[in-house]
Amino acid sequence: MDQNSSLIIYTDGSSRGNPGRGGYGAILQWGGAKKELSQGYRNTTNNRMELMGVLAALGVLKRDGLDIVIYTDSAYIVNSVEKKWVFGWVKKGFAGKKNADLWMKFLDYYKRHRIRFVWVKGHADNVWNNRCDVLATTAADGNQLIADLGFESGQYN
Amino acid sequence: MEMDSEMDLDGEMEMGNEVDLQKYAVIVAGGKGLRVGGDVPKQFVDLAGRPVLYYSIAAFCEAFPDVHIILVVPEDYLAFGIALMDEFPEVDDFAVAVGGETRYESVLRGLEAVSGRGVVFVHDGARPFVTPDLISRCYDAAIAGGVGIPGVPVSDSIRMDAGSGTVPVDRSKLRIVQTPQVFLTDYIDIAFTGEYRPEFTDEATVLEAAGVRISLTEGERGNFKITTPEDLVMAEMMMRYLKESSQNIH
Repeated sequence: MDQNSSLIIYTDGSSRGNPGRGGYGAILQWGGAKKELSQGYRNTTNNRMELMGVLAALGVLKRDGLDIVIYTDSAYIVNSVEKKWVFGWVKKGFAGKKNADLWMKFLDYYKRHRIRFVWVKGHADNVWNNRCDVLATTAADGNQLIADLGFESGQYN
Repeated sequence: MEMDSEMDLDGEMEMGNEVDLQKYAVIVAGGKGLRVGGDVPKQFVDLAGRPVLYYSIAAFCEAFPDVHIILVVPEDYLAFGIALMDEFPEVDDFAVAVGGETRYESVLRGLEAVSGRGVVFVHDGARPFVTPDLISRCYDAAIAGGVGIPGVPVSDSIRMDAGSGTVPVDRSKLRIVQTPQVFLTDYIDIAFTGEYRPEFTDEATVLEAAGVRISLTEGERGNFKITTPEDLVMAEMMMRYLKESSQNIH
């Protein structure tokens, strides 16, 4: 729990139907500072929302070379990164694999920081994970929905 | 919403007694130890119908129904760890982290997932015979004195290699140290910050290096670590016996 040097990120994604309208929520914590992010989309998938939550959080960082621990309940993300599947997908040009647009963005951040994932049981006892769920579902149900162009273009699914 | 959740936390703090302390069981199964044989690390090998690791989780759940479980596994066993939690639907807070190169690094990765104040149990995933009694005893010791480290006397005669021969050692002064090694979450930021040192074979040595005095709590001889193929045979017999005798009681 080295909170002095590690940036902690909690993220969650959700979609109403898969595909359907969706949203992500993310919380960044660094020492005592905290920042919340969320966004809703009119047509997307659950896995894309999970990934976009991670990307949104990493996108606000102004410095490179940070130690980052990301808590997510997405087995898709944790397995893909920690078991290094995603690097195999890159080598094969993401043949038959979805969300190449988002994974390529992620890998750019992955190179610039030291990122580790921890899988957490979803919708459970963790107050920050629960808060992310609220942020994500509130955004998905809100009236500020935008287009997930990567999904709607049909190129990455 | 943000303010609400912070106010809730304050409300809990005000009660300020031991009842509110959180309990985090960091179960370390990050090793790739294959000494037991085969290509499966010992903590995932089948033991009387369940993976070795299963029994430690079950013991912590029995000792404290409100325990937070944090598993640390090798990257190849991430999906296994996530699936194993399906067996424990009663656990509300459950995390799986990927371990590091050394045990110390794996423990650090598990400790990162500790998010509140209370007591941490670091336990070897290859010690399936840990009992709720032992867990409670170490917890009580940690509440009373900051740490709860189980130790058992040595029953074998011991000799030390003295170069040109061996010399006897007074075994009455020796203790075998076990897990769970239990300490207050307040010690995490004090002790688990530095670089790995060769003497860091367990949490007691890490805490000691930070100035924490280590006194031992009574361990249990049955709480051995599965290390060799013979250990696994012994463990299989013991676990079957325990399962049968508990069925006879009911």
